[in-house]
Amino acid sequence: MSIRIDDIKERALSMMKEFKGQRMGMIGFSIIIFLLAISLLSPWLAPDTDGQWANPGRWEDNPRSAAPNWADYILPGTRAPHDIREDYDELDRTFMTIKYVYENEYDYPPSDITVFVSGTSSESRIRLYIDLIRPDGENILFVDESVSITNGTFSYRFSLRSSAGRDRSYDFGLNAHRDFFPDDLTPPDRESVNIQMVPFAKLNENILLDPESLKGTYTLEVEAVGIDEYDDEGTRVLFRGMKYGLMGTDSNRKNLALGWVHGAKYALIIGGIVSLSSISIALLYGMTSAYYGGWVDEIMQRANEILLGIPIFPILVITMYAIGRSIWILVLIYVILGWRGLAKIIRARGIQIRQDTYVEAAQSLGSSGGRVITRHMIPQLLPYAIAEGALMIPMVVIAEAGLSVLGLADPTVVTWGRMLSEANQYHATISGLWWWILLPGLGLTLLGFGFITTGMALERVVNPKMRQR
Amino acid sequence: MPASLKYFILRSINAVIVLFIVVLIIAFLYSDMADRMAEGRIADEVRAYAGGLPTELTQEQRSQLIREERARLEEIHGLHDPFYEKVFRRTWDTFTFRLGESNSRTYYGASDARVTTIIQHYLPRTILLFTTAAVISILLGIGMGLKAAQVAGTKVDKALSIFGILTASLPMWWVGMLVILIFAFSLGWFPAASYPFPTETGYEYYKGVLIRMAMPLATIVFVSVGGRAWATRNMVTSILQDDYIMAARAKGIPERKVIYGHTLKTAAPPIVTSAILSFLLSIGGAMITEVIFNWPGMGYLLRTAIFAESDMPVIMGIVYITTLLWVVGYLLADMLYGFLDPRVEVGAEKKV
Amino acid sequence: MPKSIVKARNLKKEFIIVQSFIDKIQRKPPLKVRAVDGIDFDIYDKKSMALVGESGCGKTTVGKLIMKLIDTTSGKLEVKGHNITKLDDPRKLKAYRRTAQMIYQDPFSSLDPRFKVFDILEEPLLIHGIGSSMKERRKMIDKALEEVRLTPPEEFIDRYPHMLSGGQRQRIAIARCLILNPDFIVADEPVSMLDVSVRAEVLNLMKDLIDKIDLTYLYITHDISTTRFFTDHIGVMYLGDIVEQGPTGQVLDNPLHPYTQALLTAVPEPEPDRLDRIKEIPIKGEIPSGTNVPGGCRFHTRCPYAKVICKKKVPKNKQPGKQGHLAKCHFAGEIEFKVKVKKLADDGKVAGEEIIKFSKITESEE
Ligand SMILES: Nc1ncnc2c1ncn2[C@@H]1O[C@H](COP(=O)(O)OP(=O)(O)OP(=O)(O)O)[C@@H](O)[C@H]1O
Ligand code: SF4
Ligand SMILES: [Mg+2]
Repeated sequence: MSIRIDDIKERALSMMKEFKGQRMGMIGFSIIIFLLAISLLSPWLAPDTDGQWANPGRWEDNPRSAAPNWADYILPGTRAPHDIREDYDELDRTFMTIKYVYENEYDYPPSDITVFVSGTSSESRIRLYIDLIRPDGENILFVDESVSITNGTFSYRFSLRSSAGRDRSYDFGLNAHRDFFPDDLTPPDRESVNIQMVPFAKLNENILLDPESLKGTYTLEVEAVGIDEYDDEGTRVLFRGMKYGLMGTDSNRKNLALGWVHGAKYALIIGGIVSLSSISIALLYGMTSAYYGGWVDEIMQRANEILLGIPIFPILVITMYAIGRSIWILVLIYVILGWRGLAKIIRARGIQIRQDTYVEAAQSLGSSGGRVITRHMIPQLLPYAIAEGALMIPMVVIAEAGLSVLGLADPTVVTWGRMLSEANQYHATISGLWWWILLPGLGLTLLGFGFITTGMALERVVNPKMRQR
Repeated sequence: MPASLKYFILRSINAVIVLFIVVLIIAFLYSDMADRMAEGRIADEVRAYAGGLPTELTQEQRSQLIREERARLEEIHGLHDPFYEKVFRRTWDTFTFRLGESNSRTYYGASDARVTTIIQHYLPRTILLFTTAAVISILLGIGMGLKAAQVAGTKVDKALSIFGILTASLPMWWVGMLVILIFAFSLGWFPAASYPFPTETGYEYYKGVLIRMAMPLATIVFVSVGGRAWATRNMVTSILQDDYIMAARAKGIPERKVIYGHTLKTAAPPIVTSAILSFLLSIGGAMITEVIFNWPGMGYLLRTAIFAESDMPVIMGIVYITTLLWVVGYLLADMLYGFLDPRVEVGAEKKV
Repeated sequence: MPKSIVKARNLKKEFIIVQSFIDKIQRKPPLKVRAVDGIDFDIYDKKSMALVGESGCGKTTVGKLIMKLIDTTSGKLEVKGHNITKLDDPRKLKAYRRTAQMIYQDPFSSLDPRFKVFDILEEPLLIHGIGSSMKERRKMIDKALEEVRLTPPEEFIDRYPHMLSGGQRQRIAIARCLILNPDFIVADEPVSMLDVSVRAEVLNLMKDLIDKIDLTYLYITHDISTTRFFTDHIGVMYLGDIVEQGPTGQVLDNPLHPYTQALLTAVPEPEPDRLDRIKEIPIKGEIPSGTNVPGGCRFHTRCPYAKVICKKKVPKNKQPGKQGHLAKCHFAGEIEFKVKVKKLADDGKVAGEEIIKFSKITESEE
């Protein structure tokens, strides 16, 4: 009762040939291959992402809520890229002043400037100034502070988004506003102002409400009076972008492209385990039922009917809530319940095949039961089961995503569902952070489209009757 | 016994078994969790009790008193009852709708803390949204499917098929997010959140509800109608290839009549039941869609109970009610099939 | 007297109809179909036998019993002296199946659609471990294809069944049997599903094989006219029993049983090119169900000569004429049936009655 290897190879080859004729199927199949490749390369494509997703330190250097880099091509306006300066452009030793020159040629200027200063000094205190010199000659003094020295060193961090930064920006804008509307007794308050743009905005009557980017050369100056030397390692400036990477960032600075890669991986892992287990259990169950018939079949069918009546969604909610928010619990539930529908189909097909005369003919030639199953039944049922099983993959992945949105996301892994759940939690929709919603969802859609079209094409190859339609 | 009655009884037995299995799972998990929570609470109370004991007691007296107090509390919480007894009690309570009280102080806007009251407050809104969407999508989908079957093979038909396949692979609630992004954020046509519900009365109230319902309703219909139409089209075209339909065509009966008269008779039972079943299957997706739109129904309640409150009695109650609705819906779909198609048989195939 | 290959004595097969769950709970007695109801016959070496009768009378069941594809309910069935009702050891069963083979009615479903001709013919060799190398097996396959006149073999060996015509498929099925060198073949309506034009060809091929390789057939058919062509004996079945049997010529020229008579009046003299003519049996009523076989003579509900005794007493085999020509009728040899049946048909008495078409061929071609 051996299956000959070249026999299988040949049959697989001829099926491949037919499959290649299915255009939609080929597109779907390429998508699957693409996702698979990404998943396999995930440790190199996206290192330190999996366990670090919820660790803000991992994402500190990224911009908040930045659009993908390609947003400039499809939407009006240009966005400042993410610009990290490890080295200053100029050092004036007499006043110990360092300068960073920034060329703003964008309709959407940087979302933030973060300055890290550190250095050594023999004094006990130093005085630190940070100011921004704008192309129109205006000068905004952001920091004028005395910093104490411990053990001969200091380090200081400033951001436009800190409360000091916001205060100075607002004051600057308000002054300009007053020039245009001297009589305005109720100028727009801080909350309603697009404050991150003000330092980069043209001085016009719209500076508070609808600021417009002032293009030109900006210089950021840091002056530390009383310092001996700047520390090159600890002194740097981030001009945080309005666009970042292939997929942008979320409002917690997480790089969505990295998460996406792992999302693809977990989608294939979850879906793959469930669909493989469902295919095997369904084949075993359905074929046993079909082959033995009689009361065995009767009992197995009755049991299956009961299983088919169990709603999977409430079971998932309750187990994941009570036992643990883990994708493995989800996988377990689907392994337990996922095969039931497929087993029913397999059994029906199996009974059909069993009643075909060629099975009886094989018996009259002397084939044993095992040989009939391996030579005649499995070769027919397996591709069929695979085609059907492929359709389970998107189903399971979408279920995982949905449960994440309900608050049952697995905190130890990054899935597309978890990304979407965070998008919902942080109101990405009403803040217009479209990439945060679009891209993880696109992953789900690609996966669904890929497996559904592949499954359908396979079904056509396997079931020639459908090909005529 | 007539076949239909047999069928009815068997299906009902199945439904009861299913319900029983799920309730048992709920009870099992509930009892386990309740125990763990009770242990935590007892530990707290014992600590408080120990702090309040008079200081002049000896060490031995103290530990004696603490032990007694702990035993008393454990007795009250029923921690020492056998586990199966607790599970059984819980099963019975669930079956009889004694779902307990919410842990949350807010009651989620309902009038008291009983889980049944809270669910009664939220369920009607889910039913309103869900059944409206179901009716529209089923009618529209079947209509579109029949039209497509009439013009099978044309561009219109192909476009519909592709639309059906594409939307079938989309998560409904994700489409909801895109809808908000486009129609609420970009265009500003609709309010982004359905909550709070309108407080006005009369005409204004209904107008408010309708405006809030527009986006979630459109989303559910959009996502489900293509697949429905596609399935209908496939069932009808496969029947159109049957011999007797070919014969009817050969006789020169007009195509319209062939489809609406002859084919529908055969196609109706599978079309209707599969429509109902797939709608039942989308309950989960629809509940999540509620979350996205902040539509204050069962899904929204579930998310709030999970996310903000970790309110186990409410979660268990929702799970039970959802299961109950599903089981009843499944049973009805089955019955309807048996009613529409008198050929259904129970039991294994008869081999004659 | 040549030695008998197949010897059946009081052979019975009952099918129990699968009950629904509810029926079982209600303890309804299971329904039984008495598909083969106590038959006796012998098939002698190199003397092929035909089995004729209406659809559902149990012909195929007899064939499957001999092939041991289904188990006998009771009675004795010996093939080449071995009692095959007790053949339970899988190894012995496998060995037995090398000597007996079956050709099926429908060549469209008797070949696995996923197997190429080569695989189909190699399968029996692999099962029985014949031929040590692919080359050797290939030789045998070529030879078998030549035997069924599918030449040159290369042209057919890589085809799938759906690339073959009905006649070609049936020849592949025959080749699949021949490749194991059997002594005995059950041919179950081998041509009834084929186009009229190729039937004669396939039958000729089967007849040639008798002469060439000493085969013995059990030839099951609806079509009495073809039996004279290549069988030595014939058995006429009605509702699970062989009601008349004997040398083919004897039975056809001088039928003793009213049922055989009826079959024959409906059949014109064999004209191979007019096999498609509609044939009707001029007897009244419908064939009773196998679950409810009439008592007494099982034919009495439809027999034009039935008397009181026919309802009460089961007729035994009688041999009023030549040696070996038996009929189960109380009045076998006593009445001149021919005239009466003819007359019945002539004066149109049956015209208003339900007329039974006994041929599947004619049914499907209507
Ligand atoms: N597996 C089975 N289970 C139940 N009844 C069966 C089974 N196989 C055959 N029968 C019944 O046994 C009787 C004889 O069937 P059989 O197939 O032997 O008839 P046949 O003479 O070969 O008919 P045909 O000319 O149509 O092939 C029929 O009434 C049939 O319904
Ligand atoms: S025994 Fe009677 S009923 Fe039976 S065949 Fe002979 S005459 Fe007819
Ligand atoms: Mg037959």
